[in-house]
Amino acid sequence: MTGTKRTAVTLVVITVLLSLVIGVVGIVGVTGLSDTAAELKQHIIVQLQIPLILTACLVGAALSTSGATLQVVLRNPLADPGIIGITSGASLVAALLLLLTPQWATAYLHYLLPLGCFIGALLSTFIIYRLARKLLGSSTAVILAGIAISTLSGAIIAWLYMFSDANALRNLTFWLMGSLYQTNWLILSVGGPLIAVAVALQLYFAGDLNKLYAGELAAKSSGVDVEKLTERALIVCAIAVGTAVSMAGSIAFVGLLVPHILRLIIGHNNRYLLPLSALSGASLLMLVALSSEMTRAITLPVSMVTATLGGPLLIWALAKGQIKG
Amino acid sequence: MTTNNFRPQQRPDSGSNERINASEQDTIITNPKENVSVKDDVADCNSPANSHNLADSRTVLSLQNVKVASRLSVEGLRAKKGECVHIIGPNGAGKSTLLLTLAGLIDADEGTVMLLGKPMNDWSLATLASVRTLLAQQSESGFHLSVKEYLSFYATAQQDVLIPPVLEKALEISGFLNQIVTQLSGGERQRVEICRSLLQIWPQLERGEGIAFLDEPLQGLDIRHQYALASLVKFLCDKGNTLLMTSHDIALSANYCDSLWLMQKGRMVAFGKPQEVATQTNLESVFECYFAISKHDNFLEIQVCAPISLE
Repeated sequence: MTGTKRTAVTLVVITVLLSLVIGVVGIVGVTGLSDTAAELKQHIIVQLQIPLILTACLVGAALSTSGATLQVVLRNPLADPGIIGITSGASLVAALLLLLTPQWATAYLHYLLPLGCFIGALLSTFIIYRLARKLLGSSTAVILAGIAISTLSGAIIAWLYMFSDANALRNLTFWLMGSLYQTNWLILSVGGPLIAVAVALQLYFAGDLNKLYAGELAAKSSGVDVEKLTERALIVCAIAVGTAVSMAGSIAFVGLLVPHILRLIIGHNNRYLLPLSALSGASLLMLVALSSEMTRAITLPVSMVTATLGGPLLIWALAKGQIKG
Repeated sequence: MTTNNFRPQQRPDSGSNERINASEQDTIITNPKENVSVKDDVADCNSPANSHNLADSRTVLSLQNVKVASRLSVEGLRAKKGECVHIIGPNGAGKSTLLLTLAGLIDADEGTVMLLGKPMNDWSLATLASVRTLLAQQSESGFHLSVKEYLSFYATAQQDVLIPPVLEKALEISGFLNQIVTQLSGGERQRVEICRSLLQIWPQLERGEGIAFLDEPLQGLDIRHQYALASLVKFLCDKGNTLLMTSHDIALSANYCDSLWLMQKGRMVAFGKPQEVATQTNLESVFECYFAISKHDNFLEIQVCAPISLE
C-alpha cells in the first residue's frame, strides 16, 4: 500500500513539474524571444500569460478538491460541483450581478463577483444538501436534483440573454462556457487568497472526512461532530467553487474527473486524496490552458475540453456500476 | 393466557424430566412480582440514600429516569465494570435508542446518564470516542474502498497489526482484506463492521477498560460466527471491559450474558441474571408467543412453540 502511494505521489509530482516546464516552454515558444517589440512581449507574458497559468492552477485546485470533499460529505461518488448544480447557482448570481449592477458600483465588481458567486454557490449547495439528506442512499436522485438546479439556472440566464445588450451578452457566454482568459492580476489578488484558504481548510478536514465513509453514526461514535463538519465543509466548498466561478465561469467535470481517477490509483484516504486532487486539478487545467495557447486556437472554451474528458468517464462509471442508484 | 393448547416439541435426546412444561411452572419460572433482585435494583437506583452507589468505581454506566421522546422511558439501570449485558425485546422496543442514549449519541430529554461517574453532558464527542464505541445497525458506504483501507481509518494509530489475533479468531476477516467493502456479503460486511467498531477503542479493550455498545451484532452472521461473536463479547468482558449488545436470539443471549435486560415499548420490563429474567411469564408477556424453557446444569434452553396463528 505504501509502495503504491509513493508511486502515486511521485507520479503526480512529476506531472506537476512537467506542466510547469511545459508552461515556461509554452510561454516562451508562443511569444518568442526576438528583439523586436520585446517590451510588448514582456507585457503579454506578465499581464496575460502568467495570470492565465495562475488562474488555471487555482481554479483547477479549487474545483477538484471541492469535488473530492463534496463526494465524501454527500456520500455520493458523483458529486461534482458542476454536475450537482453548484457552479450554475454561482453563475446565475454572477450573471444577475453583471446585468443589474448600477453604473457607480462597477468599479467594485471585482469584489462583488466573488461574494455574489459565493452566495449563489452556497444557496445551491444548501438546496442540494437538503435534498441529499432526504434522498440519502440514492446517488442518482441527487444528480437529478442537480440537473434540475442547473437547468433552472440555465433557463434564467437564457431569459437574461434576451433582455441584455451586446456587451453583456458576451460576458454571459463566458459564465456559461467557462474561460480562463477573463482574468487579470486584480481578480487574482482577490480570488487567490480565498481559494488558497478554502483548499487548505479542506485538507485540514481530511482526517475527519475519512471517518464519514462508514456513515454518520459510526463517524459520530468515533468522535467526529458530523453536523458541524458537514456544515463547515459545505461552506468551504461553496467559497472555493464560488471564487473559481467568479474567476473562470462554469467549468464542469474537473471535480469528478480528478478525484475519481486518483481514487483508482491511491485509494480513498483523504489525507492523500485531497492534496493530490489539488495538485492534479491544477496540472490538468494548466495543461488545458497551455494546449489551447500552443494550438493558437481562438480561446478554446475550458468547459469544452473538460467535458470532452469527463463525459465519457461519467458514462463509464455509471456503466461499470461504480455508482449505484 | 391459555397455556393448555400447546405442547412443547419433544426432542428425542432431551432429558424430559428437566424440561419444564408450560402447565407446571416451578423454580425457574418466577413471577416478576416475586423477583426480588430485580425490584431491589430499581429501588437502589432511585433512592437518594443509595445514590453514592452510582459513583461506585465498579459502576461504569448508569441511567436514571431517562426519557427520550416517546421512544424510551427507563427508571434506573446500571452496568458494572466487566459486565456483559444482552438486551432483548420485540421490534421497536427501544433497544437501539437505549444503546444510542448510553453511548451519548442521543441526548436524553429528561433524566441523567452517567458514564464512568461523569454526566454525559460533560463528555465531548472526541473524548467519548477514546472510551466507548458503538456498532450501529445500518452503515452506508457507496464508495468502493477495500476492507483494509476502510478499517485503517478507524484503527487507533500505530498498531503493529491491523487486526488483533483475538478479533481475527472470532471474526475471520483477513481472508477478504483486499476485497471491496460494498461487494461483500451481508454477513461478511457485518463482521467487518464489528471489527471496525472494536478497533476504535482497541487499546482500551486490551487493557480491560473499554466500553462497547453493539446494536444487533448477530444480524446476518452464520451460526458459527454468531457463537464466535458471543464468545468474543464474553471474552472481552472477562478481561474487565463492559459490553452491551442487543439481540433477537434469546436462547443464545440468555447463555452468554451476565445480565439480561428485557425491554418492551420503550420500558425496561426486567433486568438481572438471565435465569431470573428469561422466565416463561416474562418472555410470553413481552413477545406474545409461547415459550418452553428448560435448564440443563448451567445451560438454559429456550424454545418458541406454537407461534402466531395466521388465521
